[in-house]
Amino acid sequence: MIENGLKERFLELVNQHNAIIHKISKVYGETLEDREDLFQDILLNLWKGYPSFRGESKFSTWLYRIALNTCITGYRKKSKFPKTYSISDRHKVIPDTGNIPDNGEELRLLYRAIDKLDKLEKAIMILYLEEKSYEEIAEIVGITPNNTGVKITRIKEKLRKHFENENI
Amino acid sequence: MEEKDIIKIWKKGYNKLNNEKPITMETIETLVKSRSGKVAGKIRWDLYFSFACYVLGLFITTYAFVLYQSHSYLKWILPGMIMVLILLLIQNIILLKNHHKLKTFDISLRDKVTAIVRYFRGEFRLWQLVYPIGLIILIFSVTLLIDYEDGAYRINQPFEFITVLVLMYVVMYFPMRYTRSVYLHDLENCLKNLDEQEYTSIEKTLRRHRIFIFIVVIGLVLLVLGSLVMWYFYSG
Repeated sequence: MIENGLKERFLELVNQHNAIIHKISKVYGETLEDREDLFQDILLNLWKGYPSFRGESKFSTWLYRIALNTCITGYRKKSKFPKTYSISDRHKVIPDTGNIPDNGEELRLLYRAIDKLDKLEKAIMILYLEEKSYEEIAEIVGITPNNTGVKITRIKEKLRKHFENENI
Repeated sequence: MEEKDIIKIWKKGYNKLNNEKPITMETIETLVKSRSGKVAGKIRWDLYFSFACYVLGLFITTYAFVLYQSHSYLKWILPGMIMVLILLLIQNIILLKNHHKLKTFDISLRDKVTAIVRYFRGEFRLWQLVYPIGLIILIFSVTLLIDYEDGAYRINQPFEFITVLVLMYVVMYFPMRYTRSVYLHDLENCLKNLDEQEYTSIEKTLRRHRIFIFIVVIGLVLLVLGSLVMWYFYSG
């Protein structure tokens, strides 16, 4: 059972980092249902794990760890039919449109390029785009900072080739 | 697109989302109610089901042991079966306990993937091997109770008896064994990819998996049909 003070602190922190969960759900979810599903999975795992968060690392690092672990290791059976949960529209937190606000077209192209990467590369790319240090990425993913550097260089090369092929 | 541009586009893209729909306590409470057990590794219904089967098997086998104390084979076989069920029950409890540990998400991706792969490739695979034995013991004991009323039991015809048991084992084990293989291959790939630079696609694994499933389904259908034909000629 989480105390009231902790609940408020949790909500404050999660709402501060709300966009991170949206971004990760968007990168790993193929459809709007998938994204909603992932968003809920991540939120629930964060909620369940919060009592054991001791603040030894930054909240954002902890959140990335939980969110990426949820997306990468979650066992999902591909369903032919869209899933329906009893959560009402009032509580849905993913925007109902697939459109991306602001600089829509460029961001859509970026997401399309990221979508070509495998799930591990996606995780590293998200962290890189969030301007995390190599040490922090290494800690979240579980590889050495040197290996992180090598992987980032290769991923950037892949993206560059993709943009070249697409004439972007 | 330049490197700096990419980061700028990424950062700008979702600035608005931070202020859109805030997450409230109501949202979380609704989530907890509607999705309890759906996340964090999911509830392993199969493990709870096997646990119930073992307990029931233990109860019925003990009862059968009391009834068949004068039977020349069964008075020796039934205590052995009780021992096996006790061991299976202990293994089941350990497995459930270890599965609970998999629900930790606050670890590095490598540790998380390693823990899942180790669990499902190790102790869970062993459980898949022995679980049908527990079910067979349960079915065996149930039929013994029925037979106690009716008279002669099929155990007195060893060929038929062993064939039925082997068939039951095959039918139960193989479909169960391959239900998670693609998911595990994917995770193993991810683990390999953490150390190596080239990602191995799971497309080949998926294709192999589909072919294997096809062969298993055909094999099982033939097995069932063959058994029916044999049974028809044997009994007729």
